Amino acid sequence: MISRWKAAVAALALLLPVAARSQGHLDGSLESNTIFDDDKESAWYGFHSNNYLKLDYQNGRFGAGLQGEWYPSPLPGYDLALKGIGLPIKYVRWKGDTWSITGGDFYEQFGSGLVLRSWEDRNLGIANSIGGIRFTSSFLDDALSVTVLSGVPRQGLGYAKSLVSGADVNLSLGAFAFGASVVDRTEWAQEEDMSLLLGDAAPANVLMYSGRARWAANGFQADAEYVLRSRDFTAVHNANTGDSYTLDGGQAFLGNLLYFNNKFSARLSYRYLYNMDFALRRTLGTKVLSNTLNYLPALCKQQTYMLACLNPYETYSEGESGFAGEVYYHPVKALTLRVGGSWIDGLGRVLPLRDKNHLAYRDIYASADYRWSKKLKTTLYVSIQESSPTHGNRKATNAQNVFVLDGTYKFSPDFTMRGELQYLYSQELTKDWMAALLEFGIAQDWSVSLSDMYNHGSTKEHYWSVNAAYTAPGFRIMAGYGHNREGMVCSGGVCRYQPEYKGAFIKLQWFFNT
Amino acid sequence: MATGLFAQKLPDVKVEDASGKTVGTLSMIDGENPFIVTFWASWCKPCQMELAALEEVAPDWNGGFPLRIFAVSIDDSRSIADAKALAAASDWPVTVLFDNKQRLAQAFGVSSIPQVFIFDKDGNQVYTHVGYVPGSERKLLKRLKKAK
Repeated sequence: MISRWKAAVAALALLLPVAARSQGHLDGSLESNTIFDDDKESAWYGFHSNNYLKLDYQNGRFGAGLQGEWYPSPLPGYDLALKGIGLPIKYVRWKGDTWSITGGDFYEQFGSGLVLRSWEDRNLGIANSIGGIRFTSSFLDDALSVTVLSGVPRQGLGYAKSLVSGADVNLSLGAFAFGASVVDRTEWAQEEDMSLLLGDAAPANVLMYSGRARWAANGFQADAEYVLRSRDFTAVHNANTGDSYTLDGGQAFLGNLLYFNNKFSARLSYRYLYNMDFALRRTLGTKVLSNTLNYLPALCKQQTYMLACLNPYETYSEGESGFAGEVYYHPVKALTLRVGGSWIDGLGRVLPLRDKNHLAYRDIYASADYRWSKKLKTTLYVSIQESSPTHGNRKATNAQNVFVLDGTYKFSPDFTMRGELQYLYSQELTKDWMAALLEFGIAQDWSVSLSDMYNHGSTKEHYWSVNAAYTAPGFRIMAGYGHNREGMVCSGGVCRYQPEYKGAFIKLQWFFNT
Repeated sequence: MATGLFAQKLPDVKVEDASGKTVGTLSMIDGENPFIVTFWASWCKPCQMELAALEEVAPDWNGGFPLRIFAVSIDDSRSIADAKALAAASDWPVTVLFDNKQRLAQAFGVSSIPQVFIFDKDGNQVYTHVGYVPGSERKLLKRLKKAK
C-alpha cells in the first residue's frame, strides 16, 4: 500500500513540472470526509476518515491522471477492506479525431448499465473502476460508435481476481437508435466453497448480452433494453430446509415511455428482473456494493425528504417486476404540480411459496410547488408507501404515510430562511415520526442548518444535527455535530447501510484549478 | 482570468440533448462570450433551487452579452426520464443536457452536486463552486460578467 502512495507522490511530482513547462492543463481536487464518534458505547467510537486526491493532466491529445485514496479508518458503513492508502486510479489516454485509447483505470457504462456499470459514488463507497485497456471509435459523423475493453475490476484498494471484457456498439439513424453489448466476466480463482455447495464446479465465466432500441419524435420518446445472462451460481431458498444451490441464467427487460412539452410531461417505466446479480467473487458473504458490476437501481422514486426516505426500497435482483410513472404539470409560472407512483411485485423465490408473486413495494406521491411572491415559496408533499420486508415472498407489508410542508422565505438577497415540517404516520415498524429542519442562507456564502427527527411512536429517540457550511470559489467546508440514525443511505437508487453514530463530522472539498 | 498551470480546459465529451441526440461539449464554446455549466439531478433539491433562482434573476441580466447557462443532468438510467420531464415542464433559462453515463461529471471531477463552473470565451475554466446557498446566484452572474 505504501508503495502505491509513494507512486502517487512521484507521479504528482512528475506531472506538475511537465504541466508547467508544456502549458498543458492540470486540474485537481481534494476531498476529505471525517467523523469522530464520541459515544464510548458505540462500536464506531473514535475517528474515521475517507480522503481522495484526484489529478488530471491534459495536453492536446494526450491525457493522464491519478486518484490517491487514504482511509486511516473507513467511515461507518464503508467496506472495511478499504483501510489503508492506495492509488486505485491511474491512467494515460490518447485521443484522435474519431477514436481514443485508454490504458490504466477507467469507468465505463454499456446501455442503461444493466450489463455493465463501472462508476464512482463516494457517498455510497462505490468505486468499481476497471484496470486495463479501452478503445473507442466513432464513424459516420458519430452515428456509429464502438467501445471495446478488457481489464481487471477494482476491489478495495487493489484488484479482484477476475477479468472483465466487453464490447458495445451504438447506431443512430435519425429518430431511431439501436445498441448492443456483450460482457464476459471470468473468475481467475475458482471458489472452492461454491463448488462444494453446488456439488459441481461453478462456471469460470459468466456472459451478459444486451440489445436496445430508442425512438424519439414530436415530444415522444420510447426506449427498451433486453438482457440475457448466462448460468451462474444461484441460491434456491427454502423456508423449511434452508438454502441449496444450483446454476441458473438470468434476464431483464427495461422499457420507458416519455412525453413532454413545455407545460406537461409524463413518463412510464416498466422493468422485469430475474436473477440479475453480476457481482464479483461469488463466494458467499463477500458480495459488497463496490464489487457489483451492473446497475440495478430501485425502480421507484428516490425520496429526498428525511422521513420519506426513512425506509427506502432496494432492488430485489433475484426477481421483481414493476411499473413506475410520474407526471409534471406547470399550468402557470408560479405553480408546478407533480404526481407519481410505482408498483413492484417480487417474483416469489422462496420455496414452498415459489412462483406466487406478492407486492414488494408500491407508493404514490404528489407535490405542489407554489411561488407566492419573489420572497416566499412553499412545497406541499405527500407520499404513501407500502413495502414488503420479504421482497414479496410473503404477503405481509408495512405501510407509512408521509406529509411535508417546505417553505423558503427570502428576507433579503443576503439572508434566506428555509424550513421543513414533516410527519410520518404508520401503525407498523417504529410507528409515528415527526421531523423539522431550519436552514439559513447567509451572505451568499454561508449556510447553517438545524434538524431533528423524533420517533414518538415506539423508540422515543431523537436524531438531530447542527451543520454549517462555507462556500468560496473552488472550496467548500461543511462541519456539524449530531446523532445519526442507523439506516440506508441511498444515491441514484442504490443504497448503503450506515450504522448509528453520534459525533462530529467535517467535509472539505478543494478544487485547485481556479 | 486563470490561464496556465491551473486552468482547466472544457473537456471534449459527448452528452445528449433532450431528444437523445449526441452533443459535443466543445459546441458550448462560441469564441465570443463566457458561459456557465452547472451539474444537477432530478433528485437533488438544492440543484433545483439554484436553477429556479437563476430563473428569477435571469430577466435582470445586464452583462452586455447573451446569458448562456448549460444545465447538465447527471441522472442515470433510473431517473433520466424524470429529469427530462422535469426540465421540459420548467421555465429554467438554461440549455439542458444529459450526462447519464456521467462521463462529463468525471472529466470535471464532480463528486457532489450542485457544482457550477464558469468558462471564458475560449473554454478555460475561471470559476467553480460546490453547493447552493440562497442568494449566491447574483454573485455567480457578477463573476460571469467579469469573465468577459
